[in-house]
Amino acid sequence: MKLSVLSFACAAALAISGLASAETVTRGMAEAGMSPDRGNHGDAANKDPNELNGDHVKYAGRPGSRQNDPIAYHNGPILHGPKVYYIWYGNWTGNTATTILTNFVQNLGGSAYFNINTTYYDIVGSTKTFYNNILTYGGSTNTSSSTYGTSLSDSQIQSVVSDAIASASLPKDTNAVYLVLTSADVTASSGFCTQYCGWHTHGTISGSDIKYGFVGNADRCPSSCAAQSASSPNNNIGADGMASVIAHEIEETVTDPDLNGWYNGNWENGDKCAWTFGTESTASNGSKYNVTLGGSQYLIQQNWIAPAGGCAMHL
Amino acid sequence: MLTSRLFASFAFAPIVALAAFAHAAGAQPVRGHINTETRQVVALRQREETLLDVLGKNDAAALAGVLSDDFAQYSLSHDMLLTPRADWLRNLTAHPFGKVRLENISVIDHGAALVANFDLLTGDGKAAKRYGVVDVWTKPQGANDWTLSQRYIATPGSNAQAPGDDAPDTTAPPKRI
Repeated sequence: MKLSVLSFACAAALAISGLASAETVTRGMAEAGMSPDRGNHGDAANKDPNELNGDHVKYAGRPGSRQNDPIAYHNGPILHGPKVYYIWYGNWTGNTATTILTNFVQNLGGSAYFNINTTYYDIVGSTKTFYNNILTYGGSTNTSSSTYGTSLSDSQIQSVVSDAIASASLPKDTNAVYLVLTSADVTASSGFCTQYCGWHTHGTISGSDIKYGFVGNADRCPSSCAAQSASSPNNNIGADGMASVIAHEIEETVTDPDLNGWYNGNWENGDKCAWTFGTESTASNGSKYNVTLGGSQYLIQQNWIAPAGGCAMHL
Repeated sequence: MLTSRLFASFAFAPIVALAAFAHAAGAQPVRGHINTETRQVVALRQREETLLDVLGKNDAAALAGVLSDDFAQYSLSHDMLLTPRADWLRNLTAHPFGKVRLENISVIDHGAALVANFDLLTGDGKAAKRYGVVDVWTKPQGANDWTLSQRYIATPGSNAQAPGDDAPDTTAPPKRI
């Protein structure tokens, strides 16, 4: 009896999940003009070598191609000398994250780590221009969680960016990355902590193509979104976890701002090296770090050297 | 064995239901969001890959490291039909996955168990099928890595046979005598 009741509950739950999932995925892809097997970038010429025929086949990772395949240029622009703006959403009062992550982004541009992105270029007309390792912190603004609550949808995250620009709290800058950083009491309803730790995209805001992203506080789910959950270089597990995701989103936005720049399959440069850290050192509190920026230590993921140089921490 | 399976089902049912509902309720990201997957998603993606790799090699020792001894698959399209480990393996040998792709993976960390929820896509073209899957991964005492303990699988919109199922494939054409 127990089993039959249970079976019914589980069956209903999973059936609903499966149905809803299949339907929403199909619909989302249709809206995006994608075929179901092409992933977000929709590269028709990019056949998926992960899909193998045989008795049993290797698991096919993200649609598109293998994680370790060379990254390819798809003719879109990259960002040259962009700015980064932070939007602190929620309650950050008394949290050292604001200092830790501001120092981080202020010193990211020009670093040997970010120099890896100088292997990426774009071609406009007949001019090939490599990224120049210039990245500037443009400033920040705060948004109270009373604005949209503590569970943000994707569209609300875009609204947070839109509001900041419309209110002139931040300038409208098409050559910039706006990052919405949420406090530990805030989540994102489309899968923060279960599917993702952050994301980036672009959209039309105030009539312009604005690149923006989301990075949630890893304090909500250290085992999912923080590289180390017992201690961290700056004694703030959430912020130290966010630093790596911020690096990931920025380097992806620089090299693939409109999602038609550098990727293979659905792998952008950051994805190809996610959660790999190279050689680590031990900080005074016993935690691990692999880079020092602005006098502070951080443990951040490696980045991909284009086109086929693999993951590395510096160039 | 049956008792332990019943217990396991009972223990993880709320988790599975939660995971399933979380997947159902969570809005899909709007167009073009490029996600940074969580550590657990990356880790379980690799474990699922290892499982499929091992299934193709007929290596019992390697299989033991990734598929628990009391593994069972529950077919939610067939009244929670239970297919035990040995039958599941035999069925997969007779009817292999073919092309496989996993999409929309989400993972909930419950400490002693990782619950993965994803879409399993097999075949392509007209033969393409999509299944809703919830996998429960546990770490046996003393083990270093996760092993798959339970799989809950559904065929949305039909009661077709899922890979590894003991259930009859009701979508198959009738036999001609």
